Amino acid sequence: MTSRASLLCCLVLGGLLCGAGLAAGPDEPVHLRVPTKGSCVLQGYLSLGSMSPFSTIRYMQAGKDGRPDYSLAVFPGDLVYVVVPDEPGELRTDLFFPMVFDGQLDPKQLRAEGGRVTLNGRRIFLDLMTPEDIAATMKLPESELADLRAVRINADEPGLVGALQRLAGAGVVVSGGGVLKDKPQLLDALVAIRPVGLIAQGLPGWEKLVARLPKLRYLAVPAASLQPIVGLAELRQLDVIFQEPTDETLELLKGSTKLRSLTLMNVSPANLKGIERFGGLRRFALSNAPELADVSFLRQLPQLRTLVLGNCEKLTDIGPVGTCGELRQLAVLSNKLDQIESYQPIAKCQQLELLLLNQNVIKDRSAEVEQLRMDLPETQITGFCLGSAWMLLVLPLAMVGLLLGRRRVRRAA
Amino acid sequence: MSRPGRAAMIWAAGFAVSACAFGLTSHRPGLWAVRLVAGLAGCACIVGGLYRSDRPARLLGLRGGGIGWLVGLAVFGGLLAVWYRFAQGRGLLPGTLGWFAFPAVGIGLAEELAYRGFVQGSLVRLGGVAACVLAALAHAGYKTCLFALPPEGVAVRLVPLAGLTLAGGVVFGLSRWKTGSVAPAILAHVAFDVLAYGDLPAAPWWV
Repeated sequence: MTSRASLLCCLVLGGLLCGAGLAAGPDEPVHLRVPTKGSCVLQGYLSLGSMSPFSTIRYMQAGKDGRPDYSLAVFPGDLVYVVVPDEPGELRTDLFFPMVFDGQLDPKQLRAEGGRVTLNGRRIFLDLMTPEDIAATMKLPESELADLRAVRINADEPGLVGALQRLAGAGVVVSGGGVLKDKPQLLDALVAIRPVGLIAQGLPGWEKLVARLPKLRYLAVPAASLQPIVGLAELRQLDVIFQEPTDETLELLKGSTKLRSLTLMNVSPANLKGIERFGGLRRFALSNAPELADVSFLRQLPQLRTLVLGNCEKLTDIGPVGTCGELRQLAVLSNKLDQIESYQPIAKCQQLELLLLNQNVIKDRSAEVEQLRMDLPETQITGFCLGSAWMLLVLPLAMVGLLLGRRRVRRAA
Repeated sequence: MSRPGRAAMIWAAGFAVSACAFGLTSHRPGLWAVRLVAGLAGCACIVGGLYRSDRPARLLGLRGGGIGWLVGLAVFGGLLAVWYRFAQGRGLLPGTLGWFAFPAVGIGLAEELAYRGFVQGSLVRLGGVAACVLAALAHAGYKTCLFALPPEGVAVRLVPLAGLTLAGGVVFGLSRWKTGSVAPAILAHVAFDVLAYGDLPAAPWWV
């Protein structure tokens, strides 16, 4: 083949490949895709700075008043819902997208004009918080509502029912605020949406809605009791913030056999009775369990891939963690430096890819952490990940090669 | 073909294969041994290839490129970055440059020195066009391998990635072929990296 022909072939091939990619581009929301497996956890997303290893984040951090400092909920195939504190005592809700956590986009650059959040030019999120939002929604063409993934509502808005009727059958994740009690028309409209998920942290009266949605797959609720959640057979992912101490146990949820992800906040040891029923759990996050001293129940969860033990102040022995042979991601986030007797049991988790410890633990118990690094050489403990930056080695190597080459030539001359 | 010519090509091929192996394993924790061997082999190929070369500076293309090529390629790289940002739904230009702009410059420079410099320079005995195309293929191969097995949860479209890297590499390679200098390609790559990634708050996962 001649040189020109090979060049032409190459350009044509490149053009075809580019064309195929561009043609598939706008219609394929690659950046929106969140994996249904392999979620990982992160403490201090806002302070950690680098989030490149954390493509999927799911964790709730308890605040002083028992409310979440922030929470991150990832819904498979959908979006990341983030609650962050704006001012002390207040919570601001925001939506971010997995692409942010791919390290490819700056969260500050996220396109959100008013209530219109778009990706690849398509509206994926709808705000129904104000009369203006609702009026605007009523005027939207059907095409604008075709790709919705999430809706945020204000249940106290009188015109909300009309707007929701336009979304019948949309199958979105519903979040928001306002009171749902004693609003049968609103409940009917919400049921007609056929939500796949409900984030009900600011929706008093959510119990009645859940009772009419037996096929919910994702649920995040503040709960005084587990009773309203009983019987959700399709549930995959459940986040519960216990609002007050209760003796109810996880036995109540025995019908949710498909549960794969469970996050519990403000937990007493009694609540965890019956957790062995959920042997198929892949993710388990405990936050703020001050009385919990024994985690031997982990022996009953052999399939765990992700485990968070956060603010378990009486927990000193994390030996049972070593029995989770499939563990890929682990966070042991304690308040007290010397609380955990030994981190060595973690070394038994040979599949571990990511270990998150408090910064002060990494710093002040450095000998132990170094031992862990030796025992688990492939586990990422500080977030370091070697990638294309290795190419920087070419610069000094080229200089060395140049110098050596010139020296050789001079000697030969 | 002369013996030194064949040796240079072997060094270049060794580097290209090693880089692909490194890229393929860089996000797989269990394959550290392969990664280590590949990394060492790649380093050895660069140093060895330059050491055995009679004109290492010329092999790397260390000379000034024509002003037209320099300006043209810088604009090309910049436009490519603008298009890339547009395709991702970001602002067309970065508002501010963060710390990552510096490694981005270094990585762009190193990649061009490796592929348009070392690999293409080593293959030049095959003919200008063939060297240009093969170096672009090697670069596209490395990039594809680097992104082929991403960490869990990261979706990558390999086809456009490979196509764009190949097409861009051919354009960069043409500048190397026509000017004998790697400078225009470096300028273009650096312009792309800074404009495309310079405002990121953190290094992308593949870095």
